[in-house]
Amino acid sequence: MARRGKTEFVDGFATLRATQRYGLEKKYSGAKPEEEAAPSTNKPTGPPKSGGTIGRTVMPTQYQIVCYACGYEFVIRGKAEATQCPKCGARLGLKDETITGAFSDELVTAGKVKLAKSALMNGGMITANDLVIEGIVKSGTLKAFKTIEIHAGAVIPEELIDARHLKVGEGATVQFATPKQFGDVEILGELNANLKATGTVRIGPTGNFLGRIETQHLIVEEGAGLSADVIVRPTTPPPEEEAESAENVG
Amino acid sequence: MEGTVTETIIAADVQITGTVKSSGGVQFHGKLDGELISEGDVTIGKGANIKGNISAQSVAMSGTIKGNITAKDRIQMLATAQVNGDIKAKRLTVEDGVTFIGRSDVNPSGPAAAASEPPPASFSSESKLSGSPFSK
Repeated sequence: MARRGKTEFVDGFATLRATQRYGLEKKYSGAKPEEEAAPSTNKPTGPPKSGGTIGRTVMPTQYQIVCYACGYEFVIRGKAEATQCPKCGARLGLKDETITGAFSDELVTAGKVKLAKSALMNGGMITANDLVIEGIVKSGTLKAFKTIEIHAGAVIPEELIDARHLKVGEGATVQFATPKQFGDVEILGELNANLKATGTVRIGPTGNFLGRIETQHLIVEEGAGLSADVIVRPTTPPPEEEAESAENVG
Repeated sequence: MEGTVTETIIAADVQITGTVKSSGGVQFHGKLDGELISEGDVTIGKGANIKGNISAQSVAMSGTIKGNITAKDRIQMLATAQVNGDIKAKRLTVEDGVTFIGRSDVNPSGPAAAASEPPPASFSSESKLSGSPFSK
C-alpha cells in the first residue's frame, strides 16, 4: 500500500499532491481509470477520457539554508522571513539585506547580503549564507556559509574572504596572492590564483583563469580563457601516480 | 557533394608507430606511438590511445593522449578524454568528467603567449583582491 499520512490541514498544495498521488497509484496498479471509476452500466461510449492525473505539480521554491549557529544544512520550501534550525533550534533570520553607504555594524542572516556599489565597510561583521560584494570593504569580518560573489568594482582584502564557494562576476578582476581552496568556483570575470577546488570549477564564456588550478571537475565553456597549470582528476589517484603528475606540472 | 574533402579514418584495431601526417581531417580510433600532424580537423575517438604530440587545425578528443596538443583554432575535450600534456589553442571547451594534467595556454582575446604573463600591477577600473586592501 502506498503511504498515506493523516492530513493535518487541506490547502491547495496538499490537494494537488493528493490528486497526483491518486493518479500515480492508478497508473502503477495497472487499473484503467475508466473501469475503476465507473463500473456502472450507463458508461458513455466513445474514446475513453484521459485519467485525472497531473503530470507535474508546481512545487514551492526550495532554499538551502546553512545554520549560522551550528553549520547544519537543511532545506526550506518557500520564502520566509525566519526559520528555526532543526538541529540546534536556533532562530535564523532569512531576510536578504542590501547595504549602501558606510557600514560598521554587525549583521547576521541566513539570507543574502549585498554590499552595493556605494557601500563602504569599515569594521563590523557580516555573516550570511550568500555575500555579494560590489562595493568597498576596508576592514571587518565577512563570512559566507555558501557563496561569495565578487563583482566588477569591488575592493576587498583577500584575507577577509571566508566562503565555501566563489563566484567571480563578469567584468571583475580578482587576484589571490596566496593559495586558496573553495568548493565550487564559477568564473565569469578574470581570476588569477593558485586554486584548489573540491567541487566543480566552471569557466564561463566571459571568464579567464590564470595561475594554477587543481580540481576534480572542470567545465570550460566556449570563449573562456585558461592559461594555467591544470590538474583535473575526477577520482583521487593512487599516491605514486599523484607524485608523478605533480612532477609533470612542476 | 561539393569540393573534395578527404578524411582519413584509422580504425580501433590499427596500431601505428611513427608519424602520421595528413593534409585533411583525421579520425583516429586506434593506437599511435608517435606524432599526429594534420592540416584539418582531428577527432580522437573514445578508445584511442596516443603517445605523442598532436598538431592540427582543431582537435576534438574523447580518448587517451599522452603528449602536447597544439591547435590553430580549437580544442574540445569531451567527457571521456584523458590528457597528460600541455595544450595550446585559440579556443577551448572542456566537458565535465575530463582528466587533464598539464599546462593550458588558451586566450581567445589575445595571443596565447601573452596570456601566461601575470596581470598588470594596477587595476584602476576593475576590482582587485590582494594582501593590501588599498594600494592607492
